[in-house]
Amino acid sequence: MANVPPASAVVNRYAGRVRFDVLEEHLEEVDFLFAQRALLLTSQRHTLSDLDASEQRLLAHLDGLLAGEAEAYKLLLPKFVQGEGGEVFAVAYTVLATADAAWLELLARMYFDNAQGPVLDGLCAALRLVPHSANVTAVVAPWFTAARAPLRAAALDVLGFRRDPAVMPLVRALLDDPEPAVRAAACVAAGQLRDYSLRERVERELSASDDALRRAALRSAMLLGSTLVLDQCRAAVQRHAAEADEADEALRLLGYAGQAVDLPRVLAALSEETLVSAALAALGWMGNVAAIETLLDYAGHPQHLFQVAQSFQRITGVDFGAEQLLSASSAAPAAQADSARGGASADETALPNPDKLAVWWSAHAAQFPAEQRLLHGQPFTLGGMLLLLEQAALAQRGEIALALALMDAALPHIESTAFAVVQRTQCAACGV
Amino acid sequence: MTNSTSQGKDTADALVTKAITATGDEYFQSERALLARGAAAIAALQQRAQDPDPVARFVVKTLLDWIEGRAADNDAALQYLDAAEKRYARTPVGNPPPTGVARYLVEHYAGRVTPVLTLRLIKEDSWPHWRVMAVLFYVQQYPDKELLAPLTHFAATTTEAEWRNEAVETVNVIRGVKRAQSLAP
Repeated sequence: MANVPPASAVVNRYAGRVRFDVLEEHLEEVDFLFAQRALLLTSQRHTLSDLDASEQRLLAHLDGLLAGEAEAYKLLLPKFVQGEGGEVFAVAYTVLATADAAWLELLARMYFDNAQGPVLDGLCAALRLVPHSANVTAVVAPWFTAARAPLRAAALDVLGFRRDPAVMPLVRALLDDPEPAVRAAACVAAGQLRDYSLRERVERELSASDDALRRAALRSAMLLGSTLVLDQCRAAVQRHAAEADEADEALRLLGYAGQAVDLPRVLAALSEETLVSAALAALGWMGNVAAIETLLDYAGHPQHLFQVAQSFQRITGVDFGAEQLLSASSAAPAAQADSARGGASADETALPNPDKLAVWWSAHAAQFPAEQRLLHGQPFTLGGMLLLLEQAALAQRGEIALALALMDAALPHIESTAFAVVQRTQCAACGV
Repeated sequence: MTNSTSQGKDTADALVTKAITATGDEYFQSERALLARGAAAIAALQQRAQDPDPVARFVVKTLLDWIEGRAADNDAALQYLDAAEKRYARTPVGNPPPTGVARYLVEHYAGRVTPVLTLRLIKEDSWPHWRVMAVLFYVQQYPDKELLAPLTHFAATTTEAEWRNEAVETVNVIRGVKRAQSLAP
């Protein structure tokens, strides 16, 4: 045993032998996989398992950089000055995962505090995802009192994303920030952490004049169990013509909440062309078979078929492929629908044939109870939601996580863009 | 009288700001002006001694030390570098050998001129290769945490791969994760 060198000596001995070209390969792969991960999260075809597989590759290449840390700085340090998304993510992740307190403090004050644009984006991605909480806190703690509003908002974003309860007192303080963007970030963090003591404070922002702040407050107040926010959503749907964006969000939130009393309101919103997509989505989340006939009415419109299919599936759980309901030319409308939703990857979502769908419903409608909220043909339960979260397309998981959180005030708001392994831990904490 | 004092102080503040932010000739003008003011520049420098930027703090501290007592060593070391350049320019080699220069600095100044040479390293726009490498080899012999920020800044911003690699080696030596380059002939 006496001949075993100390760990530091082993590290030093190997540090000089790390091959630079191998580190370059690791950095290139991290850059690529980071971009791929961002695309995956918008996929209508890939699931949490696919994300997990991609992340295992990403983490393996990050391990390569971590193993060559001292040597890797020859490659990584310039990225703080002129890097972009994935490269900055790689260097920030390496620093956060390996740096001792003094080195981290130095780099944080030299580079992290001055980050802007793509550098700040890559840095925040690393701060959200890296498992080393103490180092993350050390970096962002001074940001809460930073002169630059984007840093204050980033600090809230990072710790809210990580569901770090240490941020709660700071959220309260920054809800009074003079910058609407910071108050919006504070509202989001309050909802993410489900800090019910902030409900009334968040509700005050429901009437804010800043659109982004008001919308952040809307979603957050919902997560904090506000009853006021449901009335606000209902009112927003009523005055849809003037504030289509807010009405769109309000409709979706009413859908996630799933209260039967709102069904007529959601159906009425279909008369407004700009709200049809949100209303169809809401009908799916409400899980009421009374809405199926209405969904079928809209299945004949190619621009709405994607949303109809999703909502139909969300209520009934029908497998379009197994039931031979697929349209022969489903790829093109799917691409159109994806494009209409704002550029999410089109993927190869298989869409049903509207006529076959109507025939199938005629034959099977009697199987579905009319008085229950349904999710994939089953009563709307925690277990069902968790299963859906595991199996659903990645692009849909954000709203599933929100609907899950709205089921029960005691449930966590699962972060649908965290590393898959973290999400699965959060799901396990739900107690099923 | 009040106006003239205020104007003088503003100028000193401006010189300090320029010393922190500028490089090349613009930096040297402000460095010369601050050193010429001597004790009169101290108050302006001390105002920036707690700057949140670690590189700015290093620049200020090095200039303060220069004014307050390191002038002889600093001036002599810089003169040695100039003299070595002239002497070797007449030889077939053309440039002084970096490890030899580093050895000379170790033997004559120990670690006393690491701050001023690191300051020049980050402020010079046109240092030749031998000077950059000599200073990095020299600084490695006296790992000083105060030099981490400027050397990290140099490594992150230089466009020369060899300089960046040696600067990172130096940073790693100061951090204690690497051993210093040997200066043995």
